[in-house]
Amino acid sequence: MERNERKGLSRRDFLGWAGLAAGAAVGAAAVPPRAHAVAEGTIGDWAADGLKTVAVPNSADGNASSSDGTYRDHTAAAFPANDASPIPPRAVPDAWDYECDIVVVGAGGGGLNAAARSAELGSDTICIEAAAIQGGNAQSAGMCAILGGSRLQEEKRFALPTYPFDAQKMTDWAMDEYHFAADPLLIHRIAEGGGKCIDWMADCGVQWRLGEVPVYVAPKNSTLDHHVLKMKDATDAMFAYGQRLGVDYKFSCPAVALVQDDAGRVVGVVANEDYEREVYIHAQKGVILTAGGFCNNKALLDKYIPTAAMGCASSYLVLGEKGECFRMGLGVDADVSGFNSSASFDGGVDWASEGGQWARFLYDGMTQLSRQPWLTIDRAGNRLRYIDSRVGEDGAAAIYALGDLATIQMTPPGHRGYIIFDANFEDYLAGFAQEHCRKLITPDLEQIEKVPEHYRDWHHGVQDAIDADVLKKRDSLEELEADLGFAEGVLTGAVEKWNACCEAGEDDFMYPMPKEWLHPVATPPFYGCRIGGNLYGTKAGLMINDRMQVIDTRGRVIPGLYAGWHTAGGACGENSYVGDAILGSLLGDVSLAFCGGYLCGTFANDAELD
Amino acid sequence: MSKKAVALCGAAALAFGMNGCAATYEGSGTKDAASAEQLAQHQDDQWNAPVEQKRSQAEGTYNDGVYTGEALGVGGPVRVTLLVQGNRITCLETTQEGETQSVGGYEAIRDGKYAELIEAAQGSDIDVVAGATLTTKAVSEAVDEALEQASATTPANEAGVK
Repeated sequence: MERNERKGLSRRDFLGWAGLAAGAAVGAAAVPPRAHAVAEGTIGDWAADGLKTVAVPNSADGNASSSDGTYRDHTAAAFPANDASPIPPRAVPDAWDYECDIVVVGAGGGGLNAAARSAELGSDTICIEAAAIQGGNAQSAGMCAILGGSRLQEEKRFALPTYPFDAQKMTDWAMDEYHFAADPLLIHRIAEGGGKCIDWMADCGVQWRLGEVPVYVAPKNSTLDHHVLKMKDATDAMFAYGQRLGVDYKFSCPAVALVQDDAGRVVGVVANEDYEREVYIHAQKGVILTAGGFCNNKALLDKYIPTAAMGCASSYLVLGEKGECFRMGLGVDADVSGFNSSASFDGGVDWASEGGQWARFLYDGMTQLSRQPWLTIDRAGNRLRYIDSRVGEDGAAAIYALGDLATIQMTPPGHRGYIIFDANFEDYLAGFAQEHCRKLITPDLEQIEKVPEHYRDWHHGVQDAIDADVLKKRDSLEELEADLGFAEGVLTGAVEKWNACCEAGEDDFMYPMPKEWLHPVATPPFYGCRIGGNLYGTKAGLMINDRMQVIDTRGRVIPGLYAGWHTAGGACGENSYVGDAILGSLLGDVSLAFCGGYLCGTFANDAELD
Repeated sequence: MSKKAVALCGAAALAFGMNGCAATYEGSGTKDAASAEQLAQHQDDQWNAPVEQKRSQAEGTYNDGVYTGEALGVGGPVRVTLLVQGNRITCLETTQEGETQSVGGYEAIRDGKYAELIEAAQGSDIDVVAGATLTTKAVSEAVDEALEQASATTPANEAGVK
């Protein structure tokens, strides 16, 4: 198999040239041998950002926190967006380009539901979307988690905390999970609304099936073999339903500002239709902002979710998540709720520190490889606990494993962990048998056509990481130790202890690995990679009340403005690492987006649930 | 976490008691966990497939010059800048607002994959980049727009304006 000549050199080699390449003109009049959007090795080339020159620190420096040892900064150029400034509203124009009752911003999980619900309740609805297609990041979700209240769960007599389902009982239990750092009225609305939303979507045409462990639903025809594009059947069904109801969808039409009148009412939005012309859209009843959060905006993460900014090594939402709608809310003086809360999985790979991108496809092979039960240590050489995702006796715990291990990887010294394995690593994979998104993609899986071709063979993504020197491959442990930025002796010492356990057949760590996973690190080449949290949901967002109305910094409703998740915040209170109770809130992230859209569409039309 | 565990054990017993031990479970596969043989499967890497030269120069007659075409991709406009010299096309630059990263066309635009494909096709009939159908379509349309400007039969050219 021929290798593209550009990949013959590793990214590390390119990075030294980034400074030199900065001066080189791209698109020069003379015929260049090869064309690139930017000079080779330059990262974070977002045209909107304009950044073409990037200095990337050496890997060893990338380990460093600031001098007080607590903070770890990212390379801003690796992010799609890096702007926390509020976007100011526009004044009412002399003439509007479009008229309607409700404008929904976003055609992902939240927007498709908000638009359909709004149209169903009789409103003339326009739904604008920046991307060329519907579905957003929601179509890529693997499970729609819900802890009780839906028809399917009632059939199984299942609810948390105990059956029978009761919204208040669930709220009481959840508030304890949130250490009372949340708005109980909003939590109650989520508890009550989740099941109703799932049932409503079924009535709209989504064919759900209940999971083996009844804490989630998924579209009926989606494969059990992998999670790629699993929710697409659901988002497609809601899109079709909205079309039947006459929703006017405008794609390639990003919102750029809110329109606010002199009385402070939000009366419409300005959008960049076809990325060419600004249009003013008048919304008589209200504007619903449900266009995702800000997982991919460094400045917003730094300011509103510092634990995620520090502890996450990547995000896996590859569409949007630049936080424009959140910033528009700030521009009309919206308050923020859910400070410092987010949701992450384990196994964020630290590409951004090595000249790569912050947002990466979740099933890129390297992510799955990084999530296996390797020897994992922190920068002091201490062992980090592993949380198993094999189903075993307790299926739901297998799901929680994905969030719990994220916290473990986000909080050690330097907010990073390190996985270490040797030349024989492929021999051990079958024995790990990890589930969900930790599972490696192989070409024989059902519905493999949903997986982008490059990633149908997990080896490709791993090779990409080796080529980029994100997964470091070295002939000696000493070299690996130095290049990962460990202090001298830390890695070799940790490996020595680990190998002794392997030899003895017993792990002496407080949380021992099962014997079948005790594989020595002895045969070169040796591999090592820096990992952290893999961010998938910002839980800080615009403050809303339990009728989804956005609240300003003086505690008053901003008339005409509604927000759903994840543009809204507060779904799991403050300081949540993984969105308890179940990887998002009382509802998993996509479930929360669906529910938020349903609630916004309902309340913006002065209706009630059911 | 303890309260959760107590409630769930009951539920899990309910779920699994009826099904025996190997649960059919989202993401766990319809069979047991992936075998060593499954994991050892290899497939050709399309991203690294060599690009074959389709033709040595463009079909049609074009005026020499530098032309930029634009079309809407997944995440905004995609632009292609072509240098045409003696009916031979060189792609000087491809830019984007933000195509889908690591799945779709973001890397293909940034790393010059589309530039390579355009030069190999000497036109807009480029191969689809796997995983980037919409981005590829946008690049192809942008090439068409650029070549339209370069076309010898446009009125502007007939009037002697380049």
